[in-house]
Amino acid sequence: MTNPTDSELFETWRGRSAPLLPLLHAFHERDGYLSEAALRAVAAELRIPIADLFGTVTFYHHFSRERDGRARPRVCVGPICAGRGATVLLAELEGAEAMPCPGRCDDPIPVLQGDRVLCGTSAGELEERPSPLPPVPPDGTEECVFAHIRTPERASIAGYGASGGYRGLAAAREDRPEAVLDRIDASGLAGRGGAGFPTGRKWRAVAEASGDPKSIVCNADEGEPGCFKDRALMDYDPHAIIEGMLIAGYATGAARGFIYLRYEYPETLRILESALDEARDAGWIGPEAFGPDRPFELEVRRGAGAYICGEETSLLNSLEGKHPFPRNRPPFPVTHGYEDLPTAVNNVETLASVPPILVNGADWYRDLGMGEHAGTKVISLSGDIARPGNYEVPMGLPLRALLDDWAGGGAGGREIQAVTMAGLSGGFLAGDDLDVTLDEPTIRSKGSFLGAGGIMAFDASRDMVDVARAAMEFFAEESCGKCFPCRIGTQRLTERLDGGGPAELREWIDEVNDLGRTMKETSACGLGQAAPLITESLLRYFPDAVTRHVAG
Amino acid sequence: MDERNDFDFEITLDGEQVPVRRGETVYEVSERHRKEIPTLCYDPRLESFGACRLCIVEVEGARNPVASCTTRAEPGMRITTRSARLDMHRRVLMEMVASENRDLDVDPLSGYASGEMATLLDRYEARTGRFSGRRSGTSRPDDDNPFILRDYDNCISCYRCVRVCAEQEGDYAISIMNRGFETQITTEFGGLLKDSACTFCGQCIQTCPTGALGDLKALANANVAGETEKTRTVCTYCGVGCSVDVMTRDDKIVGVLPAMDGPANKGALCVKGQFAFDFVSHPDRLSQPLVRGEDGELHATDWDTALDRAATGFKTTAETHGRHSIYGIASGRAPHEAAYMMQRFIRGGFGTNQIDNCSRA
Repeated sequence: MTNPTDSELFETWRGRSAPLLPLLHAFHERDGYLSEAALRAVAAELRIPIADLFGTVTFYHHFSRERDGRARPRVCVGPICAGRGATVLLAELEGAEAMPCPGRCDDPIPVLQGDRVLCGTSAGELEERPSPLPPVPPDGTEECVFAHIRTPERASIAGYGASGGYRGLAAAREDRPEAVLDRIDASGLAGRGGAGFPTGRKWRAVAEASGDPKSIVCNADEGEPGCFKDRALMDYDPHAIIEGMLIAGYATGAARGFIYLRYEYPETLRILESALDEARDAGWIGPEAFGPDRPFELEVRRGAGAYICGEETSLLNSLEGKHPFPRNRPPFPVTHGYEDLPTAVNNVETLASVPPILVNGADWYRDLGMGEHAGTKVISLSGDIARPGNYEVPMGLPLRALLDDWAGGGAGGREIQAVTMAGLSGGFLAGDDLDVTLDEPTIRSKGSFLGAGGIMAFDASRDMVDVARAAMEFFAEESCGKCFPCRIGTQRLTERLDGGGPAELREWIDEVNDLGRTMKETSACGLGQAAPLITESLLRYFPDAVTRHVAG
Repeated sequence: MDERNDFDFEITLDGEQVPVRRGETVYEVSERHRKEIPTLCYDPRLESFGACRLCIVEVEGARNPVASCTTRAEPGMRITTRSARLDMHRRVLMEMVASENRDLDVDPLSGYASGEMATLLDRYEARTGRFSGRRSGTSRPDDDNPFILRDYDNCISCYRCVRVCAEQEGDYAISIMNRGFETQITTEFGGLLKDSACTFCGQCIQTCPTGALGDLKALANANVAGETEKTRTVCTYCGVGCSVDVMTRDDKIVGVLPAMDGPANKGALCVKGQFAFDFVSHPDRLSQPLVRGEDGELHATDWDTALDRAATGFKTTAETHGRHSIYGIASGRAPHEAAYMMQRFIRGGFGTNQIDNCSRA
């Protein structure tokens, strides 16, 4: 097979939505890197200033500008893999580069090589294998998004249909869009990507906003270290996400959708594309998706490695081919989203929750939670824990119950000294605060948040100052560079956790606290606002370790 | 234009009811009421960007302060522009910015806005040396263009240069490379300005708040003694009529600043208006009149001799061939007053309209 020419690649994408990322990927794949000639050709084709395109390409981790760079192995050095020999593996593999957490914490250590993900803790053990299925919950606890995920062949449209698939959409279409919005409102479903905004309200705002076409964007950029739940949902139940997006499209009047998938999930890309082909062939997606003259088009767009692109306005800029800085808000995406038109940006888990809600009813979903908390939350649990994996827990479940009863307690019977919340963004919980229940109000009362639901466990053998340093280094690396407090603050906090800053303890603490407070209160987006929770919680729970660290 | 009656609603600004036009930002309203809110990434000619966060204000009901430059005023808003909390954040932000740069003070000849950071460091008493660590930005001493200093060790990543290049000049010559603390202002593929789309208009220099981008032509005069005086005039190089402030020291031109309030240019200039002033005192300039001798060479002489020769030539030509045989063209490098005299000379002196100027663009 001969390689496609530039003009063949351009022809494929001419006139289509959001063409920059797919075109760059096409050249990246064809040439093995992004050459100057390729960038100049793409800039001319899309009429993007070449300086802008060059700058934007350098923003992403995985676009390689060096010959044969795309094929170089990238080894996860995230918080979990770092504790399992990632640096040794990195040194073992020729030409390997480090990469931040690619969402495989339940099966360390992932190595991304071209379009394959290999896993293993040493070079000899590396093998390509399917991502782990979620463990079965104890005592028959009822699940929502995971209820059918272990059903064989669920990822195919036939298997999906045989286990109740596309019935939610059918139920929605028997009703007016307004009634669908009412049902989502009544279910209490809120954003499962971290922000927790009520889904029904978001959709209603899109439905009521003026401007066409409207869009549904699935945020599948799961970049938070320690989070790998969306990967499991997409790998094993891709039609649930497609169905959720179709219901969202029907309810809001949107005519197009995009799944923005992180670069680090190449096998998930193949699964989604095959599911989309099936759904298109079956007529669920296409010019008459919701009836005559009621189209809904749905495509995947692959990211290129940038944590900030999980922030919805960065994601939209990235999708549009712009520099992926977050946008100033207001206006919000519900009125000014993709191409400045009304857009609902929803997380994978949120969208996957929608079909079962429509099939089983709003009350059913609401009652899955404990006490006054509605529904469920998938927790990606990893680290020093006996049975890491994705667990769909009732909202309000005690954290201790998850750690001990569901996941078998600390690995090797060792005690867990701390966990992270919201991946890394929620900082640490430790000591008596491990007695929280898993719901947003309770966790926020401890100065943290549940967020996207990544929880990493660390036993007493772990140096928490070093864990904090690596976490802050991640935030510094991923800070987009737009707002001052985040760009400078993450760097300065990293240096202070790495032996820098004042030698005198009181001054060191004052600097760390002052940096943290200003980052929290003045940063432009969630990254800079959340990053100092790492140092804040480190000082709260591990003051002695900090004292020893500063004393050197 | 009478603007007094076109307000749409009121907000409360530091306890006072003030009128607002729909669409105005909180910063714009505050500026009108002389609140002197600090900024580093703001340039009134550019889209609000929201990077430096110094313009934060408190909005009643909001947990965290908001950036006033990107927040639209809404009816009934209650805004506080000064408080101990805001001062604390602004001081910490200034200490953070100071920690990433090599120099806190630069020569004012660097550019129009080059003292903005230093002024705010003094205002917030932020020259404390706290938060020290690695510096950001890598300077480009290899860029040997004669106009623009690229001293990114003093860059604070406010992106005013990138934005002015795109939004005001439309050149898109420079952009932002990498992320976070590694952010770097760059051209396409990291090259030199002369190999980029840069037209050397110098607007990036004039909006830079730290002198990371500097006016090399002006900085070459840093050692000229004397107080800097500014004289408002109009650029002579073409017919657009850009307003400039010519900087002089002891009657020597040391630099040109664009007039931010110039009606034709609003702070914009081109490479000629910005940088091409050094011919005035260039040693190659003629310092005395020359006349051509019998030998065909030019020889120094006195003004009477030179003027006699010129007058004779003009008169003879006009008498022999008629008044329309005379054509005058004035130089764009001459002052406006000289250009005016030239046309009076040709029109009044010879009675012909054949007068032009090389600036007629």
